[in-house]
Amino acid sequence: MMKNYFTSLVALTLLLATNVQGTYAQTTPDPGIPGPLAVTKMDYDLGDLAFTTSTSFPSSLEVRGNIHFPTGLSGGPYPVIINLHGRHSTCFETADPSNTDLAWPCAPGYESITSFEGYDYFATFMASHGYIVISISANGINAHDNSSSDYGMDARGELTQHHCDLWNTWTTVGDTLGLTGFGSMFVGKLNMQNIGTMGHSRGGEGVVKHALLNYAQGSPYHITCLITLAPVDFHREILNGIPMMNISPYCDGDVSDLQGVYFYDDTRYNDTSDHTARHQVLMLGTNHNFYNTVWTPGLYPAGGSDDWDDIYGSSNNFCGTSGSINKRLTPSRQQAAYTAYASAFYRYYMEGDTSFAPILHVDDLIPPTSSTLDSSEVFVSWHAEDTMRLDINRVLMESSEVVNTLGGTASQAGLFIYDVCSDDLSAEIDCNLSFSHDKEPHSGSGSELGMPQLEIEWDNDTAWWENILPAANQDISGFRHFQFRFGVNFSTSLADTPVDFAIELTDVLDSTASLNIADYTNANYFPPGSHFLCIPKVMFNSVKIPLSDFSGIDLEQIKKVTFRFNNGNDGAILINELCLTGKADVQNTTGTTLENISQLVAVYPNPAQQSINVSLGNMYENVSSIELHDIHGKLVYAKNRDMNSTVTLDINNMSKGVYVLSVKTSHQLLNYKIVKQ
Amino acid sequence: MKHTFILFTFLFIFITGTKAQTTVTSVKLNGNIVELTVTSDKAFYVGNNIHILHIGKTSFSHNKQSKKSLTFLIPESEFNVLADGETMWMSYGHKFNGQPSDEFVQQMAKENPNAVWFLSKFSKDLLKK
Repeated sequence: MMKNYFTSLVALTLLLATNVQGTYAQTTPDPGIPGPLAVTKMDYDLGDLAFTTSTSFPSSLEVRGNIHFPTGLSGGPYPVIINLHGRHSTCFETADPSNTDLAWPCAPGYESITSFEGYDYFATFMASHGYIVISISANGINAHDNSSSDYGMDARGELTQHHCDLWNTWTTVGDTLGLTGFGSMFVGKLNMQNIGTMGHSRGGEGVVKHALLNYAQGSPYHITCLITLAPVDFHREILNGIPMMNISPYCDGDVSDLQGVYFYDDTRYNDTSDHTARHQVLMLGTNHNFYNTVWTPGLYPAGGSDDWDDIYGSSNNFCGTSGSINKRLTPSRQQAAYTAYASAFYRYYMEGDTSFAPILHVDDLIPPTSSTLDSSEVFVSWHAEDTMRLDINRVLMESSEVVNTLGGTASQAGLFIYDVCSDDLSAEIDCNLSFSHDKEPHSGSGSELGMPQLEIEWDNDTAWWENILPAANQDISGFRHFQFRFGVNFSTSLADTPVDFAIELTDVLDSTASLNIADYTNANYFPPGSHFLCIPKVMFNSVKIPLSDFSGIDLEQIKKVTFRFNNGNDGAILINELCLTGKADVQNTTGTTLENISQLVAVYPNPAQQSINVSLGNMYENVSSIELHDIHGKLVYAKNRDMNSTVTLDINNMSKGVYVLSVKTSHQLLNYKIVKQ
Repeated sequence: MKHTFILFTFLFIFITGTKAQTTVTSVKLNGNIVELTVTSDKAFYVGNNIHILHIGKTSFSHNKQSKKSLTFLIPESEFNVLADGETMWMSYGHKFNGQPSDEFVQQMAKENPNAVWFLSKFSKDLLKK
């Protein structure tokens, strides 16, 4: 069962090295370079029907998966990443792999399609950096989920939590089930208080549901961050309080409306107690399936599919692989792109490695070399932590046309269209760009609201839109960037032409400074491709302009921000999220943001008999209290001052049972389930 | 079996529109659920989006999928309020702004044979109790 994957690591290194294109001039380290550690893989399989959900899912499920970890497992505990695949055929006929099936368990003569192994390339990569990566099988859900009322969402969440429960046992007391090779080798090796999850497709909605389920259970595990990869969001689940990144493949032929954008859009302003960031990555030229090698034709014996080609045809220009304009990425390039961006995300949030911030915070326009992407192929959105951000105009409702978020006046002159759309259920459920919702994924459809956005169209050089800053907000010198999020309206803009316009800041003495956005972003691209149902799509991406580049004005007294549409061409955009970011005073001397406290807290041992240690690292000064409550909510321990980097709680005289440990900061409440033995 | 045969005959009479390689082949009542089966001579895509059965302005998506058939599960109470004469069509994913005309659905089906299927006109008589 045990197999050394060092050779795979070498192969991956060579793969990434040979796919390099473009340059990477920034000082940001490349997150897609494999780490130094050799990697070992092990499988586990408790049976095809080993788990029954507590809900009404119509089938029992398999408990099967694999784990990649640094060979030898010296030290630890290691941060943990959990991968959950999406929906795909479940079985294939051994004698004829072209014959696939959607049943569970597999019929005689058939064997299971191991979708969970499709992320082994990324698991190997992250394990080489000191992570333990678990991939879990969900074929039993796939075979029955379409007849389930929630399409298997709850079951995916429960199955993920069940694997967490198993691994929590294996890392505390060891294996009690007789799994080959397990024994006590994982005892003390998995940090279940620092878990990152990734869900692909229906698995994306599954890991969101898992995080909500974990929270509902009192947060026995700490979900530090999560990635939704080309996900479905059938149920518009709202997950606040956990940093997340959604990855959208522009040429997704399966989830072609890119509905995962809602995971970002819906959670930006809905919860004032949510201080975490959101990230959205748009990858042009990528499809749905190639992120998973088992789903990729030629890389697995059965069931592979190029979703775009198979559903919409290979001859389509841009997204089809035989079109005269073929902009599709090869499978290896697509996997390299995922590896680079997912690695940056996990290492930023799970290790507190802020060196990758420029990639996630839209500072680097040139992608990491290892991603194989150039700056016309990938676009990032960043909804900064509210502690780092001042919103000027969120554009949430019709009144945003006249009053901005700060209470200042918003106004325009000379615009052909100036209207907030996708903000109500009646006439403006969408922005009316196309009959097909696929072409405006951020908008609403039917009876579902989307993301409010301001539609702007201009046909003359004198048109402008301005937002007045009230006196209390005119000192913007404490911020580093002016930022907004937008996309080009393909239905009315000049075809195949990037838009350009100027951002002008005016101070109280009427001095002005103006910068053209084309000098700071590639997100002004005209959405590419043409297909009756699917493309082009308006996708929102962030634009970030350093305030220090606005010269000759007094940043301590800025009275208005003006968009001037004076570049000589007609144009149309959809825009929102005007804000200032990079507030300097929310970072401590180590450069670690407050958000990272959750990643630095460790609670151990757990279960415990005599004492519990709460390690706060170098963030202990930010912790205001540590409390322990019993299962009935009764306070049994409290510490409100004189924090040290490690706080030890004497629990020797407490009754056996479950307790909840709460670590409070000025911005966060972290809860941990503690078991007293 | 007898009912199924009658349904087949009935449906052939009812079906209009494009040459149908994807057709409604069975409508049965199972408890309080109407099971409407759409069968194709080509396997339906097994992916993460949902196949949606549109009947007029109403849509249904819960189903049991096998290789070349999709059996939609429609609550009997919802089936009974559907209007006779509405167009039945199916899509893999896709939401639209407004209700497309028959001609538009047929155009979509022609250009996207693996994503949109024009089926037939609906009648509650499809279900022979």
